[in-house]
Amino acid sequence: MKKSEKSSTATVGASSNVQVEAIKETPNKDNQEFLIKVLILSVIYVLAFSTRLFSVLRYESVIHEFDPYFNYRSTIHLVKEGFYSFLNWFDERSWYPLGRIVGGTIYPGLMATASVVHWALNSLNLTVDIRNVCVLLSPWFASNTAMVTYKFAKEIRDTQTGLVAAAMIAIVPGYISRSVAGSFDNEGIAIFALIFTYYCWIKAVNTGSLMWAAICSLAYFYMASAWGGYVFIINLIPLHAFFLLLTGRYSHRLYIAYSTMFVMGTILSMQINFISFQPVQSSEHLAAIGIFGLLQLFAGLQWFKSHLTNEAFKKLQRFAILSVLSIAGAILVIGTATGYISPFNGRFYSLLDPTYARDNIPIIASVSEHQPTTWASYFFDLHILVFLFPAGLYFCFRKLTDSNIFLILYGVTSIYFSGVMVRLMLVLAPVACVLAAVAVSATLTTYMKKLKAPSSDQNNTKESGGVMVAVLTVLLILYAFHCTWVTSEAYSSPSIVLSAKQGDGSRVIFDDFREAYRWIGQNTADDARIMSWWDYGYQLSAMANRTILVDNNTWNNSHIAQVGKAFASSEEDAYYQMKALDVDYVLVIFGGLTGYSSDDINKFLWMVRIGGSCDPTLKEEDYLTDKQYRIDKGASPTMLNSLIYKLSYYRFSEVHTDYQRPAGFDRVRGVEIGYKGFDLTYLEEAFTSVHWLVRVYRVKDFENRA
Amino acid sequence: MSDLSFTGIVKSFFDSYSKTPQKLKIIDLFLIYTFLTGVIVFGYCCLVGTFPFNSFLAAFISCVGCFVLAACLRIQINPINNFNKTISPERAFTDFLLCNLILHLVVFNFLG
Amino acid sequence: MMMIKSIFVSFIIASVLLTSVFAEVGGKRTLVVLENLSQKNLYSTFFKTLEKKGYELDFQPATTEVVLEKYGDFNYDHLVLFAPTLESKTITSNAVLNFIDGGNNVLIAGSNKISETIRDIAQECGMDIEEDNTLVYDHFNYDKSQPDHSLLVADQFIQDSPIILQGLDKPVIYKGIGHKIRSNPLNFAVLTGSSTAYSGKKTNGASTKLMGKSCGLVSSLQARNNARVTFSGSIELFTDKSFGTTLEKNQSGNKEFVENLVSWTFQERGILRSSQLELVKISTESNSTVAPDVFTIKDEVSYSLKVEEYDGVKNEWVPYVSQIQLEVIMLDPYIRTFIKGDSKGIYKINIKLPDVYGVFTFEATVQKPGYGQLEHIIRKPIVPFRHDSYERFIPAAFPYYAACFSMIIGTFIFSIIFLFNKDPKHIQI
Repeated sequence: MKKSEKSSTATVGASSNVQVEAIKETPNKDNQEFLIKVLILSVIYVLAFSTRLFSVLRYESVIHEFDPYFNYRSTIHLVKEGFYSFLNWFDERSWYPLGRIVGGTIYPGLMATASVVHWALNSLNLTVDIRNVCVLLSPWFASNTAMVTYKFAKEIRDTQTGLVAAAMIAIVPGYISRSVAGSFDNEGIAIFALIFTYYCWIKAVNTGSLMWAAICSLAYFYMASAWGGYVFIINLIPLHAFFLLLTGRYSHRLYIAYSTMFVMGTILSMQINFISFQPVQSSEHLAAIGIFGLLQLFAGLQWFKSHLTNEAFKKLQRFAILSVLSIAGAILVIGTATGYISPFNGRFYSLLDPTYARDNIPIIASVSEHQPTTWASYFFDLHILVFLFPAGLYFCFRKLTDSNIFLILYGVTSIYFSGVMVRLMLVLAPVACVLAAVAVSATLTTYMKKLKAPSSDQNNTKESGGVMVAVLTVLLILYAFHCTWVTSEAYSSPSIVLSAKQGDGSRVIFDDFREAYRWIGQNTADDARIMSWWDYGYQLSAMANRTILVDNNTWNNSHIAQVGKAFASSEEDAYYQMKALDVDYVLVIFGGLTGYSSDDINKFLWMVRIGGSCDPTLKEEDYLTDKQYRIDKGASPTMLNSLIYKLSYYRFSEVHTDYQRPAGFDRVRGVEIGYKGFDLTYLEEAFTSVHWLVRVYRVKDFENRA
Repeated sequence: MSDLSFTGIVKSFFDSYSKTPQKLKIIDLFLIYTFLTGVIVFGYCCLVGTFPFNSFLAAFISCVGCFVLAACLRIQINPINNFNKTISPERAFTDFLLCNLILHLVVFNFLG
Repeated sequence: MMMIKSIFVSFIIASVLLTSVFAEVGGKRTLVVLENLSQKNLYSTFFKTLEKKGYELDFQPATTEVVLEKYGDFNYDHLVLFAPTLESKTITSNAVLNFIDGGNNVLIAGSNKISETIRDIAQECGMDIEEDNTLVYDHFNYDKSQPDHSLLVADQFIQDSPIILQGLDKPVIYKGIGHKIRSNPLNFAVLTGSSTAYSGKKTNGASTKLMGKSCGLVSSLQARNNARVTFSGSIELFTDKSFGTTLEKNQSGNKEFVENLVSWTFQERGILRSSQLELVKISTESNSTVAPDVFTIKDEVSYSLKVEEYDGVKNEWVPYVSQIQLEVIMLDPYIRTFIKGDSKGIYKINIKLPDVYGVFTFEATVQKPGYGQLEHIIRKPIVPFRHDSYERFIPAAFPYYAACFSMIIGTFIFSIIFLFNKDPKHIQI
C-alpha cells in the first residue's frame, strides 16, 4: 500500500527520472517479499515437523497410546492384503467370539493415506518400514496443515495474517497433543482435511467458481473418510450459508458454492461404508438438507423476481414461502414420528448436553478424554490465544465480509464444543490460531505503520507504536517457549513406555507393557484367547497378536459387561464365566509396586458400573465400605474376594515396596492390602513383568475327576 | 397495468421470459428434463419401496446434481450477473463438465 | 552285517515304542490288594476269569506297602482294592488319585467298615460313602437267608450303557454299605437300590437319610482322561458264594454282572476316539468341495468325522456305529443335530451354516453314560458376505439404472447442443 502510494505520487510529479526509479523499485520489493514469504513458510514447515519429534528422540520410533495400535494393525493389513480385502476385512481375532467387521466400522482415510505414502516411498525405492511411515505421518500432516492454514487465513484476510496463523498453528499445544510423532490417529490427518475443506469453501464462496466447489466437495469426502468430526463441517457450512442469508448477503456465488458442494459432498460421503445412508437419514444432517432447500427457494424466487413486477412478486413470495414452510414442517414431523429420521445419536446428543453422557451412557462418560474442559487446560493448550481470540473476533466484526462471518461462526461454535469435551480442544486450536493471527496482524499493521510514519507526526504515536510492537513480540516469544515446553513435558509421552526420575536424578524406564506383550506372543498358543479390560485390547491385538475378548472400540456394551462381571465375581464364579467364553489367559495391569496409578484396581469401579448396567445383581455398593473404595483391612468382603483383587495382589504380600512399610504395601492406594497370603485354585500365574505392571494368568483346564 | 390475477401474472412472466437468450433457454429445457426425471424416480421409489436404497439414492442424487450443476452454469453464463470478469463462459462450461464427470463417476460407484 | 544289526535293533525299539503307545489302552498288569493273602480263595472264580482274559494279576496283602509308581512310570495298569480297611501306610489316597489321573483304572469294594483312605478316594471320585456300621436294607426285595433283610436282591441296573451288555436281567445278590453319588456328568450309578431300599444302622436298623434309588450300591466315575473308577459297597458281590447262590428258580446274576462290570472298568469297551475330521464347503456350481480357512454365512458345508471304539477282546479299534450329537455354538448353540453313523463308523452330515457371523465351535459329543470322552472341537470363523457376493443387477432397480444413464446421455446431448448452438436472435453471450 505504501509503495504504490509512493509510485503514484511520483507519477504525478513531472520528473521522468523519479518515474523510472519508482517502476524499477516495485519488482524488487515484490521479489523480496516473495523470498521472505517462502523462507518463513519453509521454516514453519520444518518447525511443525520437528517440534513433534520429542518422543522419537527420547525413546524410539514407536506407536503411542491405544487407538493408534489398531490403526497401525489395520494399515499393515491394508498394505499386505490389498484394498478390497481391507474393505471386506472381518477380524475374528478381536471381540471373540463375535468378531468385528472392520471394513464397515472404521474411517479408512488414515489407513489409506498411510499406505499411499508407503507405496509412493517404496516405489521410489526408499524402503521405509510401514511402522516408521505410521509414526511420522502425523507430524508431516501437521506441516501440511500449517501450509493450508496459511492459505486459509490469506484467503480470509491477507498474506500477513496467513503467515502469523501458520506460525501459530505449527506449535499450538492443542493441536500437538493429538499429532505428535507416534500418535497415529484420525485427528492427525483430519485437522488437515478440515482446514483444507474450509479453505476450499471460502474460496468457492469468494469466487463463485464451480471448480472450487467441486474441490471443496472432494476435500469434504477426504474429511468424511478420515474422522467422525466431518459432521462438524456439514453443520457449520449450512450455518454459514444461513447467516449469510439472514444478513442479506445472498449472492449467486453462495448459491453455486453451496448447492454444488452439498450435492456432490453428500453422495461422496455416502461412499464410505461406515457412513452409508446417514446423510439422508440422521438428524445430524437435516440442517444441511434444509438449507439446501432454502437456497433453491431463494434462487428460484430471485429468478422469478427478475421477470415480474414488484407487487406480483410479493404475492408470489408470500404464497411460496407459506407452502414450502408447511411442506417442510410436515416432512419433519412425519419423519421423526415414524422414526424414519433417526433421532440424535447418543454421542452427538452428549455434545449438545454435557450432562447427558454422565447420567445415561457410562461407557462414554468413563473415557478420560470426554470430561469437560477446565480453564487450566484452555490456557495450557492455547496460551496467549485465549485472549487474542476475542480480539480477533472484534477485528472480524469491524469489517464484515462473507469469509469473516464464517470465521466468527467457526470460532463461536468451536468454543462451545471445546467446553463440553477435552478432546474437542483440537477443533478449537486452528480457529483460535487464525483469529489470534487476525488480531496480531491487525495490531501489528496499525502500529508498524505508526513506526514507519515520518517523524513530523506527533511523537507519542511513534513511542506507542514501539511499545505495542515490543509487547506483541514478547508475547509471541513467550508463546513459543510455552508451546515447546508443553510439547516436551506433557504431550510427548508414548504411554506404552513409562519413565520416572529416581531419587538421584537418573531416569528409570518401565518397558513392562511391551515385555509382557512379547512374552504372550512367544509363549502362548497361536489361537489362545486373552481376557483383559477393554483399554488394552488394541495393544494386545497389535503387539501380542492374540485373540482378545473386548477392545477399545467398545461397540458391544453387553460383552464388555460380561468381562466386567467376571472381574468382579469371586474366583469360582469367574472361572465358570471365563470357561463359557473360552478364555485361556487373563491379563491385569497392576501399579501397586511402582506407583502407576492407571491400573485395573483404580478402574475397577467402572468395571462394576458397566457390568452392573447389564446385570442388576452387580451393585457398586457391595464393593464399597461407607461409600469409600478401599482395599485394605476395612474393605468389603466382596471386594477382597473378587477376581481383580486376587489377580492383582497374588503374592504381593511377599514384596516389600518400601523400607518403612510392611510387606504388601500398595504404593498407589497408600495402604497395606487387606487379604494376604492367599492361593489361586482355578488360575495359575503365567507371567509377571519386571516391575509387576503387567500380570498374566492362565485359566486351568477342568479337573480330571470333577 | 399491474394485473395481479393469476393468469395475468403468468402471462407477464412468459412475456418477460421470451426475451431471454437461446443458450439460456436450452439450459432451462435441460433443467426441466432433469427435474421431471427426478420426480419420476422419486415417485417410483414411493411406489415400490426403498429396497435397493443405494440405487435409489444414486439415481435421485444424479438427477438433483445435474439440475444443480446446470443451474450453476446458467447463473455463470447469464450476462445479467457480473461473472464475466472473473469467470469466462468457456471456463464456466469446463467447470460444468468436470463436475459432471466427478458426479457421474461417484453415482456409478454407488449404483451397484 | 552291521547294517542288518542296526535295522534289527531299530525294529525292536520301534515295536517296543508302538506297544508302549498302545499300552495306554489295553494294558493288562493288575494289582490286587487283599486284606491278607488267604482271602484269595474267597474270590477264586473271579480271579480265574480275569486270568483267563489275559490279565496278569499281582496279589499283595494290605500289610505290605504298595508301590504304584516309579520314576513317573506306573507299574500297573489296573488296581483292585479288595481291602476295605486299607490304611494309609499301605497306600495313600493321593497315590491312588495320581494313579487315576495317569489314566489307569481302579476297582474298589467296601463292606460295612471302611477306612479313611478308601473314603477319601471315593469322595474325590464323587461318591459319599455312608458311615461305618450301616448297611442297605430292603424289606421287599431280600433274600430269605438273612433274617434282617440286609441281603438284597437288586435289579436296578443302569440302562442303555456299554457297562452292562444286553440281555442281562438276572438279579444280583448284594450285602453292603450304601453311598451317595454326586450329580455330575462324570459320575453315574451302575446298580442302585430299588425304591424300597434304605440305608440303616446295623445296630438298630434306624434309617439314615439315604434311601430309594438315590442309594447307590455300585457306581462309577468316568474321568476326563478316560480312567474309570468303580466302587461297590459290597465285597461279597465278588465272592464265589454269591456266584453260586440260587434265587427262586434261577442262579443269581452275580457272575455275569461282575464280569461285565470289571471288563468295562478295565477299559475293554466304551473307549472312543475320533479321527479324520473333514469340514468342507460344498460348492454348488462345480459340485466339488473346498476346504477354506474361513467360511461365509449361509454356506453349505459337509461335516464328517470317524469315530472308533476300542475292543479290548480283539485288542483293536473297531467302528462305533451309533449316533453322535453335533452342535454349532457361538455362546449359544445355533445348530444342534444328531448324526447317524454308517457301518464304517463315519458320521457325515450336510448342514447350512447360520446367518450370523462370528467364531463358531463345531462340537461333536457322545452323551451316553459309560462311553468315554468324545468331545471333538474345531473352531472356525464365519465371515459375512464380501461386497461383491451380493446380486449384481437387481431387477427392481432397473428404472434407477435407466434414470442414471438417461442423465448422462442428456448431459451429453445438452452439451453438444449448447456448444454448437447458433443463436438466431444474435443476442451476445
